[in-house]
Amino acid sequence: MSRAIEIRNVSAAYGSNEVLRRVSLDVERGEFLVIIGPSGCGKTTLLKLINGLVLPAAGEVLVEGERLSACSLTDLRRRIGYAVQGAKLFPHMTVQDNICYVPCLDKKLSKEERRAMAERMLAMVDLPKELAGRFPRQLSGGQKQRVGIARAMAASPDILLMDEPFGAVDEITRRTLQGELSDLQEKTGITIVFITHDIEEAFKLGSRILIMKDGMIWQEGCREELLEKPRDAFVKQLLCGT
Amino acid sequence: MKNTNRIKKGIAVLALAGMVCGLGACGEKETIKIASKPMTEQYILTEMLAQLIEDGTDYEVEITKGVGGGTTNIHPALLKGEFDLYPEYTRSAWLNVLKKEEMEKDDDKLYEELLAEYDALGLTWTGLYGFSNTYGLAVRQDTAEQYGLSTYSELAAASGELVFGGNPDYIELETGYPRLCEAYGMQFKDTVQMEIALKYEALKNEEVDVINAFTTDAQLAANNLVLLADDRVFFETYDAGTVVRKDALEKYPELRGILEKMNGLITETEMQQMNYEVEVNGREDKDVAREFLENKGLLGH
Amino acid sequence: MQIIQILWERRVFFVTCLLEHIRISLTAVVCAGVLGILLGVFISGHKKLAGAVLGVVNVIYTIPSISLLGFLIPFTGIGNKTAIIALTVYGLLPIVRNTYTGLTNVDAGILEVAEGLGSDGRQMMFRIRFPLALPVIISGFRNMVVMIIAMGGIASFIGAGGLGAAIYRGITTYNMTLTAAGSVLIALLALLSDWLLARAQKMVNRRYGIEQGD
Repeated sequence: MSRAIEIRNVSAAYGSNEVLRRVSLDVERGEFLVIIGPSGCGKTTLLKLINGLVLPAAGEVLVEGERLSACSLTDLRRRIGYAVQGAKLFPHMTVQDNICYVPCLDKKLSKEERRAMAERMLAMVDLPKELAGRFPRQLSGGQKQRVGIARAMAASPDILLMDEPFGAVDEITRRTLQGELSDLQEKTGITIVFITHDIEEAFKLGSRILIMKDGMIWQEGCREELLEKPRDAFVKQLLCGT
Repeated sequence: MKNTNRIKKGIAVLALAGMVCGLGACGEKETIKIASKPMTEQYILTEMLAQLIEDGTDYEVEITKGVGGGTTNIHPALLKGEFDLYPEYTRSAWLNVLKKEEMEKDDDKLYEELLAEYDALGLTWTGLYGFSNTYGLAVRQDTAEQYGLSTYSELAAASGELVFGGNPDYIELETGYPRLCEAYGMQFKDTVQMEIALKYEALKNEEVDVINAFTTDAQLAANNLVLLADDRVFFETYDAGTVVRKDALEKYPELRGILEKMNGLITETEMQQMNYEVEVNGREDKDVAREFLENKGLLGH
Repeated sequence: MQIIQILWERRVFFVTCLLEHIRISLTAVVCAGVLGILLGVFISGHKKLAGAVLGVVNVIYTIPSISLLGFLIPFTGIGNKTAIIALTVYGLLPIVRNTYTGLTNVDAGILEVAEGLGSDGRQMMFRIRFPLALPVIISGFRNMVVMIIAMGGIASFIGAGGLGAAIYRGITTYNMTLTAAGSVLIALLALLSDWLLARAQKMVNRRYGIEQGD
């Protein structure tokens, strides 16, 4: 069975700015990979390689064994969940329609089916089903974030990409969401690639942690490995949360 | 989702309705199309033509009253077939349509040549109504008294202190304003161009002192203006008549007979009176036209 | 008031003019709307052309309407057809410009998420971009409709129908009341349309209620 994600020797740039330098990474199915690093280190770009929002200038990206350069990105993306900071819900659609967005992209769902799906997903992210008919502007930050996750999960993807999804949320809600996400991952065995700038969060969630710096993977490993053998002062500082 | 669908449907219906209506507006029906210049006299004349046609035949009639630009825009449209007929003045046609540079002084010779040249264009004149609407020069009562004006020559003498206002057709044509000034030695202090309808206001408001007027203008009597005499009998008359497409006459065989009913029908005084009724007494052009025709026993047999 | 009196006395005339004004305006609105939106969508996808297209439409907009009408006459004759063409041309600018602005100013973050979730080109346009651009587009629509209704008054000068006929007739028969009555009706028509579209706009805005920088 192929790995969930393989990134082979990829370099990527924004204009003349080299953002990723010959990065290689393997992600196994069911892993909870957390990427952490200072801003500008390329972590978001790395994430976007996986669903093709960024294309490599050199190297290859494979998802579930398929080469991104050789397959339909649109189809691929529908199998990958994507949640970002601030949720970025579609303001002109109800919560229900936001959640059902991806499944409705390639098939037509009846009103009943949509209602049921929304209800199920809202329950999964611990939100009351009454929210289904509301609009994003009527939700709190935490609620929006959860709906964002529900939207990312609605089509039952095998892989979930999350870019600082708990960044814009208060401490208490964040803790709760972290717990729920962990449970979710355990229950469904979904592969998650998760970006954060908070080392505590990384420790709490990740089965493996990737530390990035200047467009390269600086060090990787599980929590214990990193704490025992930090590569340099930079990593040490990062691990201490300074 | 449901609301947007309904809105989309609403827009589609509206769009369809709009296009249908729009196309309908451009649709063609078997009607005789009459054009008129933007002046009261022409509104009345075209009403008369329309009423005679509708009364005496089964034909449908449609009048476009007030085509801006007058002959300049009506004539090309007539040639294209967008109109079938309209009232025109002989010497206007001579100058604006045939673009002659020299004025023909003999009325009969003029008409003959007019018919001949129009024939080549596929048009013809069915006759003249019996009145002339000539260019005159009008001044305010007080101006006339101040400078002792009653003729063009006297005006010429005082012209250096007066401002002239005229409609573009008149001022631009060699045979209009320039000829006037040359013939009489007029040298006005300033010359202003404006639409036919605005001249009287400008004269009243003393923005201009002299205007070219039409001899059947109702506004002359209404505003107590003085029409000066063309003492050297320099300017010719502009007889009014109907210009019609030859193929319209063929298509509507009864048309010629009807149009000829207008020949020699109206005197200058009668036209001026009718203009007065509409402009000063505020009556509708179609009522004034109807009344005139009924009095002449031409309607409702 | 004299205006009310003349409106009543010549009501048949005014009703005819009004209906024709509505017909001419509506046709121009629909044509300009459809063409404008298509053009706006097109240049939003081809940004290099946007400058040129917007420039051209802008220039046309500055041509006085009488000039444009006069220019069209030798080609399309006088009457309703020419009027509709001229009005459509003028109606293009607000629509093209607003469609372009609306489509290109959609929150980039939202667009990226929509793309990342797997929307294809058509879905991006019809489910995300266009609906989110709608408030701006409708605003342009509102401007366009009012402008076309008001401008339609001039069309009568070249033999088209509409309320301008009352205005022009009044001028040429020295009947100021007639002119005033025609003007009043045009103004009322414009106000009514604006009001209706404002309601529509409010409805759309309320639904989309986009907060800036979300």
